[in-house]
Amino acid sequence: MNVHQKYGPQIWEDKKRDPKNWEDEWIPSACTICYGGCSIQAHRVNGTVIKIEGNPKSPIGSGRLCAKGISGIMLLYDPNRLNTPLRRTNPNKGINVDPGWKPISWDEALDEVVTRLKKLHVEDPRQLVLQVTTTLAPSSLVFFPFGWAFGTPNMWVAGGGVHCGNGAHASGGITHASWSIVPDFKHCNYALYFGASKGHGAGHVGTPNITLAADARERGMHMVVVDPMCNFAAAKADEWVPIRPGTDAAMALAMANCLVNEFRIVDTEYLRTKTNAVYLIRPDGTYARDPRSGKPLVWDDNSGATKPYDDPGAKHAALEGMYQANGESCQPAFARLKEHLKKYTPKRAEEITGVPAETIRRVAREFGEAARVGSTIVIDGVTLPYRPASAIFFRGAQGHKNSMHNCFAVDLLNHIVGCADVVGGTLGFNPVCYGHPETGRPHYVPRADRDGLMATGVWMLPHVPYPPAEPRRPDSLGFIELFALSHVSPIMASSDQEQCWQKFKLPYRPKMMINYGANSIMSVGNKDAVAASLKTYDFIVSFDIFLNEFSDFADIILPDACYLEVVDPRPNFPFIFNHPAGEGEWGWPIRQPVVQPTHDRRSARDVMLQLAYRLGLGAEINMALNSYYGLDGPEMLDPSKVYTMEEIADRDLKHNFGPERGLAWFKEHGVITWPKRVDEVYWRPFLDVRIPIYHEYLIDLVQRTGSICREAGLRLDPSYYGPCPEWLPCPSHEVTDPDFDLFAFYYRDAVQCNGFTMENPWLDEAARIDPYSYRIAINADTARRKGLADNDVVWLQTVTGRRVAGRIKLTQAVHPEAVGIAACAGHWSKHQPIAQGKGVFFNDLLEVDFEHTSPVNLNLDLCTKVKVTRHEDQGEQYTAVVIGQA
Amino acid sequence: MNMRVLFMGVIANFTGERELALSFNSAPTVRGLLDELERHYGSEFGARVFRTSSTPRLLQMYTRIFVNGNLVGNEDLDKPVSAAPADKPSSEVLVYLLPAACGG
Repeated sequence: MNVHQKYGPQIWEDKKRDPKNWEDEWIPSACTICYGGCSIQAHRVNGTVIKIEGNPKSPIGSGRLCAKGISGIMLLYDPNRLNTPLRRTNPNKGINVDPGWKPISWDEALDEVVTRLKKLHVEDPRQLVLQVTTTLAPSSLVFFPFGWAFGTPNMWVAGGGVHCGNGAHASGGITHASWSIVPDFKHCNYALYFGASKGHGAGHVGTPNITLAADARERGMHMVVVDPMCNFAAAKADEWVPIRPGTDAAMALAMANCLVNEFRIVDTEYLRTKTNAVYLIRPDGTYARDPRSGKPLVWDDNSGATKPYDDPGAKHAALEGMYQANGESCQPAFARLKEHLKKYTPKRAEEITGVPAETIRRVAREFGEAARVGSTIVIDGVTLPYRPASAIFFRGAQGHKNSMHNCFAVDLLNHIVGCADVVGGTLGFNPVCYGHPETGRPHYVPRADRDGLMATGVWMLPHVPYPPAEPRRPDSLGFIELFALSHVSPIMASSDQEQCWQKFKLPYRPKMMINYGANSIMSVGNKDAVAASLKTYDFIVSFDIFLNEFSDFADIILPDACYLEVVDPRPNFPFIFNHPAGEGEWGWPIRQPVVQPTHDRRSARDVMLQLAYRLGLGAEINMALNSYYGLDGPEMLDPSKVYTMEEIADRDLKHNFGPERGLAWFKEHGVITWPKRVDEVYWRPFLDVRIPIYHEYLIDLVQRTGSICREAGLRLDPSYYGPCPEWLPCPSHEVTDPDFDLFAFYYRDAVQCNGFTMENPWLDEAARIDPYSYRIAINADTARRKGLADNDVVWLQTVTGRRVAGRIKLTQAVHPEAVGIAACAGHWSKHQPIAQGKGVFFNDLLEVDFEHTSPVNLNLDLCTKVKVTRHEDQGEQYTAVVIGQA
Repeated sequence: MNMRVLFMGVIANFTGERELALSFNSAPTVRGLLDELERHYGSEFGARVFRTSSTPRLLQMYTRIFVNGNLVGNEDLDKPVSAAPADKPSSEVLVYLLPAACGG
């Protein structure tokens, strides 16, 4: 009997008959259908979840929930879920090669895993790779401590991480001390989106931002969306500016040129006090420094002399001109940047982007005027800068080889007019938190480094974006330590990984992988590259909800409990990742079991903890957890003891909110809230930190990184390390064969995104109603010129011969030189029958190698040039995608 | 003052040992202790523990210092290492380094 049969209208009759034994509970928890982690409450009746809604008590959604969130019930009760551990019987691994799964007991499974891990730990712990997925990122906190305890540096967030934001997150961290950026929806009057959908569906702070953006549009916030496709954000905007994929930097820099050199709309006070615009730059591009203190020098107009940037006497530092410092002619960084921008004329940008020069100039003027430079506003009795304009970027702009410069260029617009972390401007996600009034926790604040530039107060990973870590000869498989501005490395699954490892004489190779919910065969790039990488492993253990395409390479499958069956003390922390920015309340919810796991399923986190203890790594993992969670004092985990996840959650919550607010308190209340302070929300005027508009540190970084690469024979393109933002062409921009005339890109669908959504029948139904979700969007005029009609099946083929098939949807809502594909679709595994055969497997078009990877932040190029041809077979295998055609 | 310094996480790879016993005439500051450890283990130790080389040096984002079970931040570096609890013969300072690079 399924949930619908069991809880149809009949249930209310049953309730009348036996009211005493009738259970009817609403349990507060947190969603994990995507990484947004919105707060939910699940309606449980007699042990069965019959409905999921948003939790009105939590600011992480304020009672609202997206289509994905309410559909979680179908994940919980999906009959295709894994029920028991499985062991492969077929030693041959490959795509679509049947592993011959045999059910085994947990004891059998874990005994084998422990035996192999023990051997590996003695041999070389670096041979272990931990692979997790973005969707489960908040739940994967125990995986990283396990890796640290075991002694491997090799942990990665697979495709979700590789595609997510090596550019966006680093840029957000360097200039906003945050994982990402959004408009201050409550006060912003002019929002300019570059390839972002914040507030319009998928992604960080999903549901809260939807509400905030909708309210802002209703209030009259003017919204301009620069994007190759007019979909979730652009369709609701006042203006859609179609742009050639991957050229965002060219448009943003032309706009910056207009603001600085043509319209002269510049917030000079902000640039003087909150950026390095006044730092004097030597002829070689580096800072002129004070010989005594080593601090960067500025030119003080009042005294007519150089002074260290933080000298109290340097109140009138020059932004323009040429000055003598230490016997050299030096310019303020702003003057350098101003000159640099002159080459980005609107006309040149039009050639690169396809956006008319007049549009670029007009949008620049509108943006600059909307910023109201010089104005102030009173919030909570405090007079603050008021700059109600915002320019943001995300996956679209950053999903390219030139991602870092795309992001820096867009964000530069904010800093020119001073609309960064002030009222109405562009906000980081909560980079300042002074903690709950009773405990002062959590507490984090950005600080200045020795050059006065901002270092973020909290980060998702220990690998912070600024100051960049000293580049080192790589010890890890992904080379993260060599590329200081990276977070996730495609080398973990690239087609040329062996050559890369040989160049650096890496003394080991990966032998064993523990996977946590990632389907890297589909989520990274072309399946052949990833499959070849996976086949080199001796042994792969995979925690998962379903068997999927990745499972074909696993040796042991462990059936995971889903998010409605597990505990997690911090589903939204750190707040820079998933908490609404702007005024309002802080909210710290928990995730708790709404029902207990059924069948033979277990929480992967519990299992990983047990593994660590069985391996004799108790002290190491307890200290790793203490360090990662920041547990100390009475709540510090004793290295000599054994804990459960519930006990760790209890200590974490008590540590942050006091001994009376442990797990039991949170299970009852679901969330704790407290008001945000004005100096937390609009922190920039309150903190003495600056950000770089001139990225001087890259000059030193390229020398150090380049030197290590040269020794190893790895070519490093230094143009990616320029201190001023540039537009740099991706490989797709350099394709000259006229047959390959369209840029192919993928986008985050509002319902099919970042999780197991493709297997969810409710979301599938919604996606089939949407004419775009499962089809290739192609400009109608372009299609007709090619003799293609709506609903034709076509091949998309790259210059390297990779190709995927799908049905097309003719539309005016996509750039004439581009085709847009939704989500990570095109599943072929028979074990996910809802997902199987739906949509288009875009990632199979992507090369995964160093050539298609940014040499500054390891961002994989997610755009490719294709030729489109009519498929020879217009047959039945594609019928699934046309059910919802308009 | 007797002190037991424990090294855990990747810092133990650089120190080559997991524990060190030290004795001071008077309680050093945490910074003073870290400087002493840097002199003992070499500049690599300091480069791993501190974010910047100019004074006052800030801890790396991934450095955790526990003094007698209490986490010490940048604002506490110039305070003396606290005395040992009554039930312990010496103060215990635990230096833990999360790996600077991970995430693959």
